[in-house]
Amino acid sequence: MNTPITQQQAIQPISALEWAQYQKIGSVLMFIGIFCSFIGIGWDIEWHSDVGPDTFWTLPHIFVYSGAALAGVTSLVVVLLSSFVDRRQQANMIPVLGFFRAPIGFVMAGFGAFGFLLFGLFDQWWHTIFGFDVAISSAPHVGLLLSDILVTVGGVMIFAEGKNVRPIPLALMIALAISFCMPVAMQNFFELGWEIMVLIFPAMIIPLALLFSLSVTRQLSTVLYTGAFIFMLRMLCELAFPSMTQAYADVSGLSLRDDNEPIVAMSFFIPILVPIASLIIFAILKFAQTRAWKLVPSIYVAAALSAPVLYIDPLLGQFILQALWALPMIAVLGLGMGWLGWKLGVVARNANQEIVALEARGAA
Amino acid sequence: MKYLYTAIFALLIIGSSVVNAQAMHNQIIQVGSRKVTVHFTDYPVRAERSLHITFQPEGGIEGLKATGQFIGSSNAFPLSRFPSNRKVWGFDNIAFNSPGKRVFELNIQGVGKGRIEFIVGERPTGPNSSIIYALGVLPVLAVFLLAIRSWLRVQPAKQRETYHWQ
Repeated sequence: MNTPITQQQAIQPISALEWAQYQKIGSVLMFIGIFCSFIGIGWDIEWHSDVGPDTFWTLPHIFVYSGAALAGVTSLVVVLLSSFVDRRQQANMIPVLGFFRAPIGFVMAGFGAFGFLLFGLFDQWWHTIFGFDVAISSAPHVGLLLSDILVTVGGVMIFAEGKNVRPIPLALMIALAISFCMPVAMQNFFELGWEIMVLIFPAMIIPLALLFSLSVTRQLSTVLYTGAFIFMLRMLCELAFPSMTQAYADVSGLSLRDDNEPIVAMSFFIPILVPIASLIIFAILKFAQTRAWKLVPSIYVAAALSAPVLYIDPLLGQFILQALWALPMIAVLGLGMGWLGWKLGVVARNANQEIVALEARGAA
Repeated sequence: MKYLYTAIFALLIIGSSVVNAQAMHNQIIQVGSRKVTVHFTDYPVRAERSLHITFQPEGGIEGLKATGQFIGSSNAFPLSRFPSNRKVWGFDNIAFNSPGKRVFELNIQGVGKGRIEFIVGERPTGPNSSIIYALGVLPVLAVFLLAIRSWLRVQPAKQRETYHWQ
């Protein structure tokens, strides 16, 4: 016998416990999606520089696009689910398109992935007019890459929201975002002739990332984890991409270029001394903590001293020796960016609570 | 949504028709005692549109070394074998930034020098790069706007935890 289903029974709001599980699965899938795109982009850049022949249906492209698709579908599902979460849980979410509500990280990543796939389509059209890529900085590529940056920033926000974040997952996600976005951005700077940005960008963005990670978790070990994970991803690029490229060329019946340079583009643009920079920040702030020194000047000193290490990365060799005179300015820049990272961490810790407070005020 | 699909397909069809207007092209030049076939995968050459150019000397490249030079715009550089056909020298995905006449000098060591001239035509009629760059910047603009919005709401300068560990 069929029991009639009332409307209330049909649309049961998702409980807090279920929502926490969905969110956890969503964050893991998001990480996997971004990691796939990271592997795909690094491999694709290596493929272009070492082998060359290009079609849309290369294995690296499939990694890039399926990573973006996974991030996009994950965001879509999470946004749909979160819109049916118990109203009390939704206070931590932002409105989307007037009807849905979702955590900000998934919204950002979702729009990023949508933008990525849209620019991907556009890139295909571009190829039919202008041929296959000569440069990474073509107009549709800029849209593709910046959309991917939106996905990775969304990914970081997923792991950084609220005050009860876990240091290791957050550090891993920040490291992935940095290892993905920084080299890609720097290659664009290089092609566009912004050499100064190539020199100073790591000294800006890494102190920002390290102090952001610390500010969100308030656990000093996070800085070390973030630095160590960036280093590991760098080594992964260095070891994996050339052999993956060689293997794929062998399978496709192609061979490496005669004038191949033994440089792995992705790892070349990630300073090898990141762990030293994170150790400097850790040591100075640990010392300051035990002596009960004031926090703000300690952060200034830690950020200012970490930046020059990232600037004098030995891989840039003689190129950098001509620019050593800029070290004091780099220290000041690192200080500013590190402090910005610290404050952005405060924003990430409090953004949700602030929304809750605003809504409570509105309700009152 | 229907209009979006229509627009996308229309763009793809227009794009493909531009490709169909291009054709492969061979030209033979004399380098010392040898004839060399210069192969263009897209001809006429257009500014900002990439193509492959290969050089195949009579009798093959086995045992030969060659350098190339774009007269007036580059120094002589060693010519590499073409990645997907190792029996010829060549450039894969080369594009010329601006229209105008190009003169390429091929120097095969021990054989001699030869030149090929070709005209690079106007950039294909396609989307304006500046508009695409402007659209491409939108996602990162969204990151900045969201960061600024959250910053203004939280006001980190007024939060105690900005200045203290807890």
